[in-house]
Amino acid sequence: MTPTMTDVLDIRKLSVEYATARGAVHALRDVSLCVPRKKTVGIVGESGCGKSTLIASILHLMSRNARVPAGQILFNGIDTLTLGEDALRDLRGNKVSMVFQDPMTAQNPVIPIARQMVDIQYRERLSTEEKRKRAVAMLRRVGIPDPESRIDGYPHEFSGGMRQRISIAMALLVRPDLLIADEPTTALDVNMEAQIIFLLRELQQEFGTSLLFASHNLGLIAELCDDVVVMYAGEVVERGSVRDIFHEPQHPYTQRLLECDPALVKDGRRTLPTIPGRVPDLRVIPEACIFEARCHKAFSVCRERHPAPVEISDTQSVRCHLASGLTGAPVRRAEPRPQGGGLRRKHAGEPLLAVENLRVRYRTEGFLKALASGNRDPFLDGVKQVSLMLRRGETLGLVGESGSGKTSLGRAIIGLTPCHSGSIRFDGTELVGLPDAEYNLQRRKMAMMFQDPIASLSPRRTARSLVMEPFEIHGIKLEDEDAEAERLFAMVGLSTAFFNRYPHELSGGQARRVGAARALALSPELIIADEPTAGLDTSVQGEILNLMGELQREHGLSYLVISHNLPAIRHISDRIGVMYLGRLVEEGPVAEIFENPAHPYTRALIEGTPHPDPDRRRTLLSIEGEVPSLKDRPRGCEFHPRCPIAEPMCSREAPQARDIAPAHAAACHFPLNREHLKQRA
Amino acid sequence: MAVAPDVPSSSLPETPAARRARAFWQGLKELTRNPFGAVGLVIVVLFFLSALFAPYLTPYDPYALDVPSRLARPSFEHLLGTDQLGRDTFTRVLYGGRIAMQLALVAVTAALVIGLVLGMIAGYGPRWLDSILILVFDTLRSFPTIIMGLAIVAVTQPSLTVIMVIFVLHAAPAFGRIARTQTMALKNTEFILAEKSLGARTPLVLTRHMMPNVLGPLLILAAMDVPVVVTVEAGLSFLGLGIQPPTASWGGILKEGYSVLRETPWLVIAGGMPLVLTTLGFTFLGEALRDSFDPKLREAR
Repeated sequence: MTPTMTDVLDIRKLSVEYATARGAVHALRDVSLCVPRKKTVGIVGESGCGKSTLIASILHLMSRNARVPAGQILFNGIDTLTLGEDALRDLRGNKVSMVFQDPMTAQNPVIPIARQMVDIQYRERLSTEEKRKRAVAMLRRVGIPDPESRIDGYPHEFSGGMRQRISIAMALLVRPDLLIADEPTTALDVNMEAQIIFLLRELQQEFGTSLLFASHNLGLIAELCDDVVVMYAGEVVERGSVRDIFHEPQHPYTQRLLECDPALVKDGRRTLPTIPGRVPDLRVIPEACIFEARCHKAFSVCRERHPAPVEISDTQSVRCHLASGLTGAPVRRAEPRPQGGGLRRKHAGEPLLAVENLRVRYRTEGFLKALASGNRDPFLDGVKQVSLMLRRGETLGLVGESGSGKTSLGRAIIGLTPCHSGSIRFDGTELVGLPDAEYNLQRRKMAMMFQDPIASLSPRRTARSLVMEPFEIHGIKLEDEDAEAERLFAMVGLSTAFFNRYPHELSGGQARRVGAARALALSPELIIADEPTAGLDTSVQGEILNLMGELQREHGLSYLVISHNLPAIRHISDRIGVMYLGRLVEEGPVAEIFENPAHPYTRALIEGTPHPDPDRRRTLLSIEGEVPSLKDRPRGCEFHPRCPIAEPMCSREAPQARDIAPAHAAACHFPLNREHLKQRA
Repeated sequence: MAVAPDVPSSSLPETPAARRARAFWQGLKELTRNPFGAVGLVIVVLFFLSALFAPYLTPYDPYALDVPSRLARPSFEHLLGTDQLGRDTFTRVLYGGRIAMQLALVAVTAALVIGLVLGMIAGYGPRWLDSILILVFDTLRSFPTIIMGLAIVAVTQPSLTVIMVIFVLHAAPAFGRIARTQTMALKNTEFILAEKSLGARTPLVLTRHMMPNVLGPLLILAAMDVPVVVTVEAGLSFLGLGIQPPTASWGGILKEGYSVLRETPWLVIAGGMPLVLTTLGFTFLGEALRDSFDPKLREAR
């Protein structure tokens, strides 16, 4: 075969295996893809589908137990699999560079940025002065303010978003032919994510670099990519141009994946589509189609023969029998989508939780140290004068960037963080200042679901003992413990076979269910869910949100859901509260907020969410910059430095919350789309 | 229920006891795959068996004098010869092992427990308490063990208990330091917050949820500390401040052998070899344990 020089990267029939104590894991099988020059190719799929293995194999960064039994990886026409360590080093960080998922650990913490950026140019015949100049110019290009002085800082002096910008600057400094980005925005907020995606898009055009971009976020793939490769269980099941994939997906897996994305489901129904089952064990590869077990369109032939890729157009190919017209008898499979039942209640009950002027402060300096340094106010306000109300059976969603005080507020309500002032009335009882013994009685009626489904379970306890622990803590004797355990497990859709599993033996979704069972054990009235969908695949997110909705209907639960995942929160909430710098800046019914946001910050958050549609790419960034430090709150309206419509008044006077419409309040001098109000103000 | 139950791949649920047993055998297999681990394990097992069954392994009484056959060379009758009072050296080495085992079990356990409790208090409690405990730990650590031992023995009578106390003072701070660091790292993890949000009281959080996660590294340190306590005993006994004659101890045998070194080397060899062997055995075992527990040192599986 002659190498095609139009493709920077051409992977042909690549297979990768990992040798493990319990047999070889066939992580990649017969994977082919190419990255054309100056184009962006996206890799998408659930976790465990081989995205990371594929990326690691390009530069031979796989773990030591990996083996490549077949295939070629042609980079500029040269097979990197045949290259020795020296030749590979010549490619890495020169012709190919990478941006990793976690910006917090991607740079060496003990070396200044300047030194790291000069060092990576070691191949250039330039003086250190010139290298430094180039580094400064690149930092300016990626949007680091004041790069001349900040370049001498250490990585920890930068925020996550800034660090990811620095990673991109470093990666581009060597002018690579190919830039690989592995989930570069997963660890970042919506706004930061949008900024990074815009930056990548601009730089890719400016430098003419090819980009290989892996993500499980379909919206980002649609925003950024020219071509898309869909991976499932170590195979490429479909590839095509971004419009092929998003507008005419052929493979049932691609179709399901797109349906699952909460951002695509706009109507208010609470049941989200999911993909039942999960990615299979890759030790034993069946003769059948690998997706057959989860496929809603499976035919008998799918169980007998492994499909080969079928070219259905110049750009699109799909690995499915349906595309070649092979069918056979349809396999009957229950429609996985639970039908109906997703109706929103018309009216909510009486107030369950009422928070008034709540303030949560954190000490920044010890007492003596503050005295010595003359700091009269060694505190930060994590939550500042927040008032909100939650009725029985209602769901209130709290959104905002990191550092907006959402989590502090949730923790203060459940008593994990002391409140400085204000009031929290829960079910008629004032919680602020309540003695511990009485607080514990109230605590039975509320429960919290934590961000990380696995890490929030005690690692050396079995699932059953974790779920039953609340009874023990509150000294509740049960007549039949086994029956109760079974009931709770069934409630969250887990069988008793999970009783003796340890947290690390559970998948994210299963661990989330165990966490939910635990929260439900004492039949609480209020559940505070902190990022219930974080770290879960889109398909599993739907499952968890459906479960939460179902439990709410059956048990009349009230939820306070904290999340920065706006599409997800839109589905389960009745009302939304938007937080910025510890304050509630807007609050109202979910439809109102999404269709008619009054605060520019709310609009920015909504517009910051990417749409999984390549024809609706954003052309403008909705909001610039990042959340200011709590130490240094801006004067006047705290949002004014980032606000696109700020006027001189905003920097002088802090706006008060006021009603925009019935049950819809916002703290803004110039609420959007409300001409009559603006005139009066 | 509209949610389909998620059935795990293995259909039969294992009981926690069966799982722990399986994990134990798997761990043992892992351990013996490492040659040092295997050697260490064999030595440690022999050490405990010989100490336990000492009376059945030798026909002699460790205190029976037989002056006419004093300082005999090794023979079939006396495997390691006799000392200057004609006592069978092999027998005395076996009985000396019993002292060593007692020290190993009691003193190391005591040091571990004290270190664990104080370390967890330091790590979980208020800052001022932490500062005080750390100061105590560091002060104790700054004394060389033998010098501290000399000082203590000078004001008390030398005995097995005193040796244990000396060792605990020497070793507990090391356990405490590790327990403290581990506790601090765990203090703000989500699962501990989750326990608190359920209303769990501090003792429950500490004993049930923190301790199992703190204990692992401490057990490894304990295995590596056994040879230390044995040498502390031998050192003090050698200086005449440890186990008092006629009780047999390895240090005591060494000391007696030293005084007759011009006449026969066998006593020094007999007292020194078990010391060297147990040190190697426990060190190998400890290191192998650490390697198989630390996922970062383990090859990808």
